[in-house]
Amino acid sequence: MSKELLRLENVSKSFGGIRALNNVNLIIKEGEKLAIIGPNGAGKTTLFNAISGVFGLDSGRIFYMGRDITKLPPFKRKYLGISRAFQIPRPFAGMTVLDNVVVGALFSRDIKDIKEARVRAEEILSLVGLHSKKDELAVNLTSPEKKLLELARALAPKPKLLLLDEIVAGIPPAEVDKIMGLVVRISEQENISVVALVEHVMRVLKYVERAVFLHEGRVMMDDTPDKVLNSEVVKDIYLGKVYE
Amino acid sequence: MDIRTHRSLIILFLVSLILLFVRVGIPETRQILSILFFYIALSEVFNLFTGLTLYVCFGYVAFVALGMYGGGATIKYLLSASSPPPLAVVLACAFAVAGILALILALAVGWISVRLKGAYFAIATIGLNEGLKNLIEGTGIWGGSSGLVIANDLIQSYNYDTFIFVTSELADYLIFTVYAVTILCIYLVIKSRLGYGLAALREDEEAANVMGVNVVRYKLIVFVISATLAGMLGAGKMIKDVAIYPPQAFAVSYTVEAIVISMLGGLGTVTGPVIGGLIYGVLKYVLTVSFPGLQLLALAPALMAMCVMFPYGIVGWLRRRFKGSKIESLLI
Repeated sequence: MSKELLRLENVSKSFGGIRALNNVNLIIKEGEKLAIIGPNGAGKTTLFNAISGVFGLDSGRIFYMGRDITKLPPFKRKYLGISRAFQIPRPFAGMTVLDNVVVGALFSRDIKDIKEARVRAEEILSLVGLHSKKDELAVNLTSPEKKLLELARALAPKPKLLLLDEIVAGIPPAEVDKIMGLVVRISEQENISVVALVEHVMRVLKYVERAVFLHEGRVMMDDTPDKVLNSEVVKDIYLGKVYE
Repeated sequence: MDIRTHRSLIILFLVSLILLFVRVGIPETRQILSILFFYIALSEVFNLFTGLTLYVCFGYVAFVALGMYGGGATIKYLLSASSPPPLAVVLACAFAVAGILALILALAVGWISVRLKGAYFAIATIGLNEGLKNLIEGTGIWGGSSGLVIANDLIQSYNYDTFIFVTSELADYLIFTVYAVTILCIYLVIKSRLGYGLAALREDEEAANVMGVNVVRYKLIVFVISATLAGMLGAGKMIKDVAIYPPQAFAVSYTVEAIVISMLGGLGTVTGPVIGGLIYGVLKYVLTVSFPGLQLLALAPALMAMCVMFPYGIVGWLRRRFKGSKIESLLI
């Protein structure tokens, strides 16, 4: 058994009268690849916001490598190795592609100075296939390229935990294999735990070892992707509607 | 340190130095150039915070005024002794006190206000000028509403020739020194980790935070550096003007000119305020000569036209125009 990396204990968060997260308990192990699935409004992005520290919790605690990080601000969590790619890419539009990735690399525990960050950024850009565009302004990239940039920025700091928010949403099927293949290859090379949020689970099914089904802020199922997909609960709430 | 990577900064410094000495060679330009230099210096100081963060501080003039008062009061105090210390010591103390006062005020104001985002920060700092002005007028410290004048102290402690030299020559060199320190600061900040963090937070503060940038601390650092330099610039202005009165000291108009100059030249660039300042200075001068009395009426549309033509400032436009060439690398 590999070591536990992240643990959520009874995490709850409400917005007004809506309980976006309702007593969520979740353990993520080192090097694990996990998909969190659920229909629109299930609380997936809220869960990511809770893990990356964008807002405080109503109750519950979050442990990372045995340390209580419930009260840490986002930048400190990033420093410890929790890296996130946004659902809608948020590149720093006025900066070059390379500088975008340098920012991602620079603010982390393992990278000491700008020189090292540049080397790392170029390496990651080559891996994701954006190296030829490194001097372009980020705003000039196409949509799939922006997704790749988002991924490169998140991978650059050598994270321990990679949070991918809908990384393949709006991406043509051929590109999905390319992106997910990259994620799997790099995460295995660098022993990164990957948590991917997906609404359309079929698209990433073959790349993950475990699937967690979230519905109305609760963890409804936590099992292998096959079992989760074929369960009656999931079919009723989620897949049934999609494939009607 | 490799000289070649800093070539652009060295060139800018040399150009500035030439400008500084033009005023010695051509006496007619003295008055204009020394005023222009103060505005360029102020724009650079302003640019160090606003250009790098895109946060606007409405209370900026308070730091300059505080520096003027702090520097003036220090000079007055030191010269009131029976045997006044040497001039260099007096001036050094004036700059130190001005800087320290501005630094303390910036820490106190910034500690709370940089936690606010965007426009809320601007609103939070809006009362700073008026508050400080009313404090000085109301309590009567530093001469209260009748102002603080140090001309007599300087003349009596030294002599008239020294007084003229200090106020019309030395003051300009002191302002130039603050300017030189400021461009060095901006340059070093841009090239550092701090600069990358600021560039990211300028684009998207929340994303920068998630990507590991301590946004509150970074904003506070440049706010405090910028305010301290603004205070020192105030000390230079005090030595030049030898008098300060609350209504003029806290007039927002001259910080607005600094904003215009840095936006015209290019926010967040080192060369922007110099280019913007020269254009603005020449434009204002020409309009004043050709449309006396109507210069402000003519200046406004001229500035509007330039803002429409160069939305990223002149330096920003030049950088895009000459992308990839040597000219781009010179426009830091």
